[in-house]
Amino acid sequence: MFKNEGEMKMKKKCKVLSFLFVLVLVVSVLVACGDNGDQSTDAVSSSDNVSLTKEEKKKEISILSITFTGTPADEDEPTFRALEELTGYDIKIDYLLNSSYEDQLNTRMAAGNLPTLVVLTGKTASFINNARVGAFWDITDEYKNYPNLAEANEVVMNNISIDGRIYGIYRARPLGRNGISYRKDWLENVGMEEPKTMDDLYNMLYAFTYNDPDQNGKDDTYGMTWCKWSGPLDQLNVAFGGHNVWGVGEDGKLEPEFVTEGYIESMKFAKKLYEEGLINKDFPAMETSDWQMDFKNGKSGVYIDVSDQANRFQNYFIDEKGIEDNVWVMGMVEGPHGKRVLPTSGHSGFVAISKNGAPKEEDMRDALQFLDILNTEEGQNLLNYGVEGVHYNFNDKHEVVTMKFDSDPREGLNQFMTNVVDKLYPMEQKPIQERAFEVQKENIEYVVANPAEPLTSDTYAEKGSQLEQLISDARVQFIVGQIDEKGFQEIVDRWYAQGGQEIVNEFNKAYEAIK
Amino acid sequence: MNNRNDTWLSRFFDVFNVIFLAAFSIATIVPFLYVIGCSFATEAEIVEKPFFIIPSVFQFEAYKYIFSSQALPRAFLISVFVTLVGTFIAMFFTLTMAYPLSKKNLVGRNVLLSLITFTLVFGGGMIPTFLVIKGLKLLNTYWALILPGALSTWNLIIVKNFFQEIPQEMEDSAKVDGCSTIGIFVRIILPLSMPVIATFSLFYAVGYWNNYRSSLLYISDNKKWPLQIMLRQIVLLASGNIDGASFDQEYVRPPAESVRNAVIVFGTLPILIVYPFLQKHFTKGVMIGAVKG
Amino acid sequence: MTLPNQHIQYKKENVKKQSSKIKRQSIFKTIKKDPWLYILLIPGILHFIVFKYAPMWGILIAFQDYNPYLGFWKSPWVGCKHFIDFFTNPDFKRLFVNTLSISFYSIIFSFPAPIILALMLNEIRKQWYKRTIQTLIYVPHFLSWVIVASLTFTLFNSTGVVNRVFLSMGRNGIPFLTNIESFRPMIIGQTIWKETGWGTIIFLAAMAGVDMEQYEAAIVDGASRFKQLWHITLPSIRSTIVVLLILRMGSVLDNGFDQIFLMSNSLNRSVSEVFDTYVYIMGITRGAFSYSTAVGLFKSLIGIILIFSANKLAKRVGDSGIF
Repeated sequence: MFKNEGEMKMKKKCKVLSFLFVLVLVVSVLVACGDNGDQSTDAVSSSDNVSLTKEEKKKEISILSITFTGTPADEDEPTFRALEELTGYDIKIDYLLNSSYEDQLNTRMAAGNLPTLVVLTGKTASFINNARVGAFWDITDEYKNYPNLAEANEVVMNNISIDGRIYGIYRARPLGRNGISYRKDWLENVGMEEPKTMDDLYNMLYAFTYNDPDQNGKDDTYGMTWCKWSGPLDQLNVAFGGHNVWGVGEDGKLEPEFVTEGYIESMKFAKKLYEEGLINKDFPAMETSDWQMDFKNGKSGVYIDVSDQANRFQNYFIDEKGIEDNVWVMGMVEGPHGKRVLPTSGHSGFVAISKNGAPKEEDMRDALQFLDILNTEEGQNLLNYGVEGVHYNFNDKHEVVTMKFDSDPREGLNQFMTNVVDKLYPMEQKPIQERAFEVQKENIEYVVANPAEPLTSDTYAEKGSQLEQLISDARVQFIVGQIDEKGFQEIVDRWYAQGGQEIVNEFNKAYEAIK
Repeated sequence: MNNRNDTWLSRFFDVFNVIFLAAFSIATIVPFLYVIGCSFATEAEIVEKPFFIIPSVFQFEAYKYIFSSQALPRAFLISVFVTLVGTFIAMFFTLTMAYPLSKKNLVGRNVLLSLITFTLVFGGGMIPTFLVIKGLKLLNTYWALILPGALSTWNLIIVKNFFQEIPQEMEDSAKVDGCSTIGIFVRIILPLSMPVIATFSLFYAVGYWNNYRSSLLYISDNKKWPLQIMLRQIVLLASGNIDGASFDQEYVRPPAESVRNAVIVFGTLPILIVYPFLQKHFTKGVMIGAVKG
Repeated sequence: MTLPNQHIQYKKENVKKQSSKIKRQSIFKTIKKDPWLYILLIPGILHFIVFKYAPMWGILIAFQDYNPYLGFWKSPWVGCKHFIDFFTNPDFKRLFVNTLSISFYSIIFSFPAPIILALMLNEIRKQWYKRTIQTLIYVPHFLSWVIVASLTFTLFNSTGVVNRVFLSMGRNGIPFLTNIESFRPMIIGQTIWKETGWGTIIFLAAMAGVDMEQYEAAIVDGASRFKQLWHITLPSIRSTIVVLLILRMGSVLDNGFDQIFLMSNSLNRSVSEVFDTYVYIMGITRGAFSYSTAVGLFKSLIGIILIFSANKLAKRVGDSGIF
């Protein structure tokens, strides 16, 4: 009898459970298909029309900008409001995280989803491809019709061109930005002056390594820190007379940098520094994230990168160690052929007008007009500094003094600044910042341009970066003594054989065409 | 417990075992302690000392930074929601599909399993999946974060394998008592699979919690971003990006080194807290006397 | 008495027809007998169709020069161009060797490590000790490779702890980070440190399902510790090991991009460049899509062949395999 009851209970329970299962199934299907959360702010190109009055229909513009912190400015931010007032546009901004920008850009493009203005961080391969297939407007002929945009620097515009056509307004960065940060106090301690020539630089590095520049009686310092990134080496290459990646050789033709005497000389110089212990032995394996450590913890005294880095180092010493005035900045020293400076490309990407978001020509013109307003004196200062009284104030010298924020509320808004004009109010600067600014200005005279930057080569698009890696690896191997000069030459030969020759030919053809 | 037929070799092995495991645990936990220590340390100490566990000067700036914006606590809640709902849904999909597949007499079993195994190595890729999500109108919703990952082929195959290991006698005795398939599934199989359920709930939960790729692609509204992409962004910011070049620091001020570490602690903490509770399910002795007639 | 051949032929065909008809009838009968079993499959099958098979057309991108703006229908077709480029690359052989050898060492060393660790854990008698260890060893799984690489650098660079120990013992320092010989051991070492603890979970779960009575019975029968391990514990995880091994075959040409990328530099490139890092650097000037899809397709093909072969092999030695 017991067993029968148990049996019946089992049967009942099983039936109930079967029923429950079906219920769960049905409910989850309904839930999954039904509620989609907030409706997505999907395509911004067809944004709602916020018409104010009957006569005044505001123009709209949508922007794709970048956020670095994940908490970008929202619509109540004063700068945002002021921007809408200034331009007379209704603005809608979408932010993408900079760490995944390419991926998100591509998926949105595939979805036909791009806003009108798109911030691009560089002339990447995918941008080149997309521009060529017509994803962005060709504004070569149009942009000059706008007074402020027309002031854009020709050289930089040339640099961002693709097949001779221009697809966006560049985001300006100082051309002469490179500079050398060093420990001023160490230099004093070893009784030297700021180096002017390559020999001076060598002597300074030697003294920093062997003459106890921090005067603590211990042999715990060395000259200069490098890391995996080849920036310092590239700067030295140009300083010694090498090309900036590509240059015109004696025969009037374009040639790559590594066939020049200057390149080889700079490599040998680096090798000497390595052998004598004046640079860190582990630099080929050091990540960029760790690059600044040794300078910060007082192990090394020279850092070749951008000139504004010096101020950041100084801030570190002030904030963390309470030490002021022990860092300074200088431009690149003179090489055997005089002063030659590696410039930056003059831009950090650009703002392009997508066909997704601006389907008609008049949309494109509206967008250009918007960008033009951003480059008026008001517009430029608004985006750079913010709103007076909220984000900055003027001091008695009418210089801008920015307020400190833990987490800048305007973050992301300055990413679509183009700054092709120079109408900024002067900013209050510390001596080291002023000096860095001077260095940047001085550099302009001596920059060595890369004539191939606006050119394209199909073979380069296919295997350019891989071939580049071949050479840059070889350079490092030479410096640490793994291969000798002959070995390096063999790699150069390989470079030519594996596609380099085609690249040279194609670049030269393109070069002839635009000469 | 000392009737384990101990020989001297056996005792030696015990000692060795204890020491080895202790050493291994130290090796695995110490670096994390360093990360925790760094999250409370000043920049100077991090930069100067190659290693420490307890910082000489405590500072809470890093955590203050993290909590200073409302964005992070909100992102935290979003992640919790996605993880809990996601794990539940994923376990539902996985368990219900694994059970029939574990039956050798299932019609079309081999075909199904081949098709399933195929997806282990072949996939459409980022853009096609994105277009599917878009087509389902799930863009910018939390479902886009939950549904795509709700059934992992790898997990499915292993769970199916575990189900196969359950002795047939268990099911047979229930069948005799008149229980239906669903009943057997829910009343017999599932309770016997608690270790498996605990394990794969953990795997799915960790997967959802750590996932940032889905959010990167599918969520454009920054107010809906879950925790991991916010954290990842902070870490990348502080380290200058994996690409290497001295990136455009002019307009963005990178946060301090300690923030980088605090972010890791903050992002990992929930899992670390939850894990010990799930742990008891991987312990021996769950299946005592279950086969008794 | 023998029947003429045609007669036998006729009979065979007839039997075949009849048996397939019976098969069809019996298929329906079988499903009808236990409909719930098939209904349970529905949610999962739906998920596979929508999220795994619907996007599969992406594989075809490998045969195009895909551009997201043009989309699938307007992007130009290039046939096998990417594959040919990939295979005729002079470095292909080196890449293949590098990729495969890291994977091979991983299977030999990193795959068994969690099994051994799980078995060791299983032998601990004091539950509190076992639980504590369990809670500590899985933590590295949650650290990102960026941190692991940074820690590795700190420990193993020429002035790091390890080398200082060597020097104080009077031996020469070893350039672990740039040496060609050290690269693979470093990679495997990192993986073992990072993933072993986490990897034990699955095996512990499998061992947890073993009835305690089996152990008690074995002890009563006088079985030694080792015999218990061999006859009870190991068999409990045997099928899990086999399944995991078969599944592992599918990713034999994958190497984990982040880890390798962070550990590779100019001096160890000849052994550190694998398919994944190669595709990455090609993508910088080439644009990411079609080429990487093509390489991925190649990897998948090899993976699926290996999985099916491993499965067949497993069945031959008596295991049930995956299917």
